[in-house]
Amino acid sequence: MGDRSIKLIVNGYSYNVSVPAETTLLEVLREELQLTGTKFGCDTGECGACTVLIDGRPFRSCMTLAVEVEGKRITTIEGLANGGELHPVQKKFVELQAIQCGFCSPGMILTAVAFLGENPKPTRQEVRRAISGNICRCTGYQKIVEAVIAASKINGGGRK
Amino acid sequence: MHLPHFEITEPRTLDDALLVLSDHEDRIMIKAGGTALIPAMRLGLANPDRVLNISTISDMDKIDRHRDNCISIGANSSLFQVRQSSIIKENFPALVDAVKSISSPSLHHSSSIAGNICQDCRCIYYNQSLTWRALRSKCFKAAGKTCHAVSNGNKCSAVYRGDLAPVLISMSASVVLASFKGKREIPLSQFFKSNGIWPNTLGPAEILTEVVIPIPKSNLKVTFEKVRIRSSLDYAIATGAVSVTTDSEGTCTDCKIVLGALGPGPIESFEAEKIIVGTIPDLAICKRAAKEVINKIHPVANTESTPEHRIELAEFIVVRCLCKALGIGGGD
Amino acid sequence: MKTETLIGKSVPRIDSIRKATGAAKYTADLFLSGMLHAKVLRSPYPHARILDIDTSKAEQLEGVRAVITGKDTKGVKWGVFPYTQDHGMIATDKVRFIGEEVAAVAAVTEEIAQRAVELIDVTYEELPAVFDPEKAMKDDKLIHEDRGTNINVHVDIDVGDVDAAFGEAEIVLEDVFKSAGEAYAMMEPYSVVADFNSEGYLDLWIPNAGPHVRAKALSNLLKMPLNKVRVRKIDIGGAFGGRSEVSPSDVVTALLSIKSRQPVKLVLSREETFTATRQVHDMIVYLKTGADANGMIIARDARVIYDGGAYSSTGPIATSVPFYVYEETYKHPNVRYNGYRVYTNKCPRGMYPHHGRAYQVAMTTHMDMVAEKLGLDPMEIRLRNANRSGDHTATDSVISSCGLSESITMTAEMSRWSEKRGKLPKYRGIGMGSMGLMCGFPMGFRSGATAFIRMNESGQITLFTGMVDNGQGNENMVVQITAEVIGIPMEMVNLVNADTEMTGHDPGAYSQAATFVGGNAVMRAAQDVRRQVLAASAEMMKVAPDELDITNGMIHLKNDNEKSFFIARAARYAMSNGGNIVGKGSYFPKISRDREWVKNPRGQMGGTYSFNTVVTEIEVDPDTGIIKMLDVWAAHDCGKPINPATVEGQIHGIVSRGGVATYMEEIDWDRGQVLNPNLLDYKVPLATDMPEMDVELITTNDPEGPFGAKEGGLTASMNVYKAIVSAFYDATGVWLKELPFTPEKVLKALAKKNN
Ligand SMILES: Cc1cc2nc3c(=O)[nH]c(=O)nc-3n(C[C@H](O)[C@H](O)[C@H](O)COP(=O)(O)OP(=O)(O)OC[C@H]3O[C@@H](n4cnc5c(N)ncnc54)[C@H](O)[C@@H]3O)c2cc1C
Ligand code: SF4
Ligand code: FES
Ligand code: FES
Repeated sequence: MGDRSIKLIVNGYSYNVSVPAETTLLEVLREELQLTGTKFGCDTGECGACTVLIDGRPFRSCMTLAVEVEGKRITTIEGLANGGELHPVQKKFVELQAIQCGFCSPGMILTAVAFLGENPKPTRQEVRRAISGNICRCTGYQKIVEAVIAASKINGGGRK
Repeated sequence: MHLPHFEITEPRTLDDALLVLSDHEDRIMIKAGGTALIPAMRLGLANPDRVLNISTISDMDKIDRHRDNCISIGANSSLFQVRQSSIIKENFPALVDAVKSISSPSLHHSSSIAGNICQDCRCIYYNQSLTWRALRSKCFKAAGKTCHAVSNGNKCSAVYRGDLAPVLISMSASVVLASFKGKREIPLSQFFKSNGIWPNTLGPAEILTEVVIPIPKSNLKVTFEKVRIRSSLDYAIATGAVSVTTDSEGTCTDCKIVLGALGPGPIESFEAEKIIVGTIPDLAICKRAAKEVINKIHPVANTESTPEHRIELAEFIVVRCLCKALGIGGGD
Repeated sequence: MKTETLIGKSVPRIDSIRKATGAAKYTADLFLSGMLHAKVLRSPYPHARILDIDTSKAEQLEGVRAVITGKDTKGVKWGVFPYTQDHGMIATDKVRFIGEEVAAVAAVTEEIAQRAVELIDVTYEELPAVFDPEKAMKDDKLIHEDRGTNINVHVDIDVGDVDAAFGEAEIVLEDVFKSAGEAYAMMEPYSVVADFNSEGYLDLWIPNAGPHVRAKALSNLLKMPLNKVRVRKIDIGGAFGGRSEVSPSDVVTALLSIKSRQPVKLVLSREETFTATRQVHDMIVYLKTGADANGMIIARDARVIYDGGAYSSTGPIATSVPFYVYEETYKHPNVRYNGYRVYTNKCPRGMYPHHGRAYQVAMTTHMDMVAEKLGLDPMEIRLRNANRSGDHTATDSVISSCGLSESITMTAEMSRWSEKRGKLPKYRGIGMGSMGLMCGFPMGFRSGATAFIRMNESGQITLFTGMVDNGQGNENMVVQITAEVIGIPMEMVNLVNADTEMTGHDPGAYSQAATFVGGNAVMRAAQDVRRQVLAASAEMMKVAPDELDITNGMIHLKNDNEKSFFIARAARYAMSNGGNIVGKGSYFPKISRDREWVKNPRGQMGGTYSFNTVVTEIEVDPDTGIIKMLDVWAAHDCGKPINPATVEGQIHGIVSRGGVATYMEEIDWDRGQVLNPNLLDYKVPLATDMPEMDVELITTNDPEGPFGAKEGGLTASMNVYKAIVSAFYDATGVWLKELPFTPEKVLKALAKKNN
């Protein structure tokens, strides 16, 4: 059997793509749609760099098949800001220097956004646990934790 | 690199799924969340011609009271749902502890309870890429004739590292297995066959549809403990759970001690349980039981920790779990 | 009026918005039209002779555009120094480690490239391999026959009269310390895009820590003129010393592009990033220490063996740096150091921020042991032996400014050291590590940097610098400096950097010299612009230039900002009277020019030195053997933090890579094969593994550094693991001598002690 035609809704836009079943969402985003903000870090679910939101929940796009998310609402890092206005989590990551090399940042930010949706007033320890599946080699996580806490203080982290 | 090629079927109902399954028995694999299966496929460890994506089946993710005195958890329930569920939190706090110890919270949305139970055994010589493995002869688990973890070994000792099975077995959970022919319910303890090559007895045309757990009586205590190198994300290097029932005198009338990540399946030590049952357990008795457990486990050098260390941890986990369950100090 | 200065302010970094929105482009994010995909065939053997390579089947596969082997190279071997040129980048005669590059394919898709790679037939003759550096030193199995020995580098330093000093010593200690090698594990897997165009230019996008140095290496290896090899600007997902040097992947991708005349992209898998890009040295240290009754360390004799893997890499530097950072910290009246970097059949090893961990641990542990014997507080013995401003090191460097003692006393206060050391409950401990570090080391004529700035008619400027940012905040640092010097807001500064076509030389972001050397050049270029702006304005206003000042882009009389005008007017005035304002600045550190790592290890090492102390409190779980850091205090003399939050961030990261790594990180080997080449089995610390950290920055205002700044963070990484080792003793009464302190080692040590 050949490719499957599917309709994806990414950052509010719909796309028709034709892919074989084994294509991951990560591959479609990066290669077909050239939304390269979603990062390839390991391809086996271990680092979190490829995290995107599907209906507001975090999923690792390297372990998610594209055909599975047909019709679901996908948010990538490119779609998080509202026009020119950064999402509160992005804003605080920038302001508080929670970003160094930035390679983990897209996955980290989206994981934090989803988490603040579940827990709008977290403690630092809860933030640490929530992002503990996203590896950052640069920051030692301290400023990331600070940024997530600071974002939670802006209208509940601005749900997505 | 793309995953190896396969076809996919996305059934809407269990019946549809079972039908497809019976048609393709050999070369089909079930996918729930895919967090264990997709990485395995990426490494060439699973090569199905067809993937049956059961996460599209509606109604397989319900958590509710079921028959008398039981709670049923639908196979597709995500670990997130399980840990958020008030019924579960109320009745099975140790199960919540176990769920929280799995991978990391952000992965819980895409991980199912059935997938956790049905996951394959792991080994540091096996969970590697095709190129990596090509440097060595095929081992038993890859249908070969050697074992790289045990020199002159004659069987596969890959490790079952699922965290839920031990705690569920300690709670006397059972699983419902459906096939085209009908359903059967078996105790979870009988679901495993302690074989590194494939750890469970699920038939080729079967789907695990529910996990059923008896609601505990008030004098039943269950405790869970897991040790991993990092404080999140990692699989256990040793994991385990204990359940104890005590009468009003404090005498233990029933006990289950189940360990995980120490062999090719969950390991229950009946001998150790016997040491506890009938006594009013104190720290010394708990430690004796823990020593007994060691006779049952034979870890080999195929995880990120040494066998000796994992044996020490097994002993520690049993003592800690028993003490916590029995309210004995000194377990810490 | 004087506006607030930008220096010392934690302004948001200029690179953050693009990284927070997914707009940042890393190498793997590039898609050029007609771009091919590359795959590499790697050695399955740790040591083997290549008898034959047959690529014919691969070449015939539909979709394949180029296949290369070692024969396609120019036969040039790479080495940082003329005497370490041993790496041909693609194997020809022999393979020397599992994962070494043997052949490569460029094809229209990754899948086809992979299939083609599998169709290449290589006939090998397996050779006996050697993995243990001490065995390798016996030279019965040679890894590079032409060298006649497996000793790659021998650094021999002998100062004072070591034997006599041991004779006088009150206390003499002898021990062996070891440390396992680590993986850099940058989050970005190694990737290269190469584009060889019809005009003969080779454009490259590569994660690198110094584009100019990289371009030169490639121009040598490819025998192409330097002006034809252009390393272009790209975002980089971490380096940590592991991306300083040219990599075989660069050569492979370049050759494929040259052969196919199409752009080629190579993205390594996570596994390849672990197994086939550089790793960190394993080490063995035999140390003898002599101390007098006052706790002064008067004699050291160290024999240090570095497992270098199959090729030299930065060999002589790697074999020396651990020695130097120690001598820059503590007095070293009599010392003998024999450092051997040895070839083994493993992936080549490079520098890492806390490179040399076994050596530093050895030196500090012996100091702590002496303190213990004399009943001295470990803090006290550090203070007694500490270097001070104006001190000379054993190999004749002068330490111009030194905040070491201050950092020791400050962290002691922050952590309430004296209430804790020796007094915490069982299995809890506190420890201290201190370190000095050269900012920049001699790299011949490459040690300096040059920057340019031009101003447009609207008064905005563009800064051109070779400075690269691997994540540490260098881009922001140079913009912050430029804006401050000229007196304009940061938004008026455009940055063009890390592109060899458009920028002047910069030594790179790996010898702790980015701020000190590159930042200095930028500062001078900005001063040049400011001078020109003031000169033009003074002419316009008919006043003397020194009567004027620039604030927020407005030019005004110093004590009167009523009459001010926008800087654009000065720019236009200059254009009408000669042309654009263009500034230039260069800086060359005051270092010895005849110093050589092996032949002449004497003379001024660095232009300046930065100092740091870390104190940490840990808890050891006696049941599981797991160590947890509870608290960290760091005081860092970085001269002057240009952007304090950035410096703090550096130290935070270091506590994870250098600290938590002390008990988690190691590459696990089985006969030359890495057993943990993934991010589950290799333990990069997670958010829940990290303590809350308390970082204090000490200002010493270095006379040479831009605004007094020196290096911003690396020093801490050499300390935090020493602090943990010292804390572990405080917690358990056991000296652990083998890093990492994995749970099983901890339990074994505790059991041994309790018996
Ligand atoms: C980084 C990382 C860390 C992890 N850490 C842990 C950990 O600490 N502990 C742990 O236990 N697991 C861990 N896992 C493994 C995995 O994520 C979990 O076990 C998860 O619960 C599996 O669920 P899933 O729905 O994703 O299963 P899938 O991957 O979909 O399936 C797993 C297996 O179960 C079978 N299966 C699934 N559903 C059914 C069904 N209803 N009937 C019959 N067979 C079925 C599949 O055929 C497959 O063989 C980790 C995974 C990753 C990537
Ligand atoms: S235990 Fe032995 S047989 Fe089983 S997977 Fe590991 S190496 Fe293969
Ligand atoms: S790339 Fe998906 S988790 Fe690492
Ligand atoms: S900022 Fe570099 S990996 Fe997180």
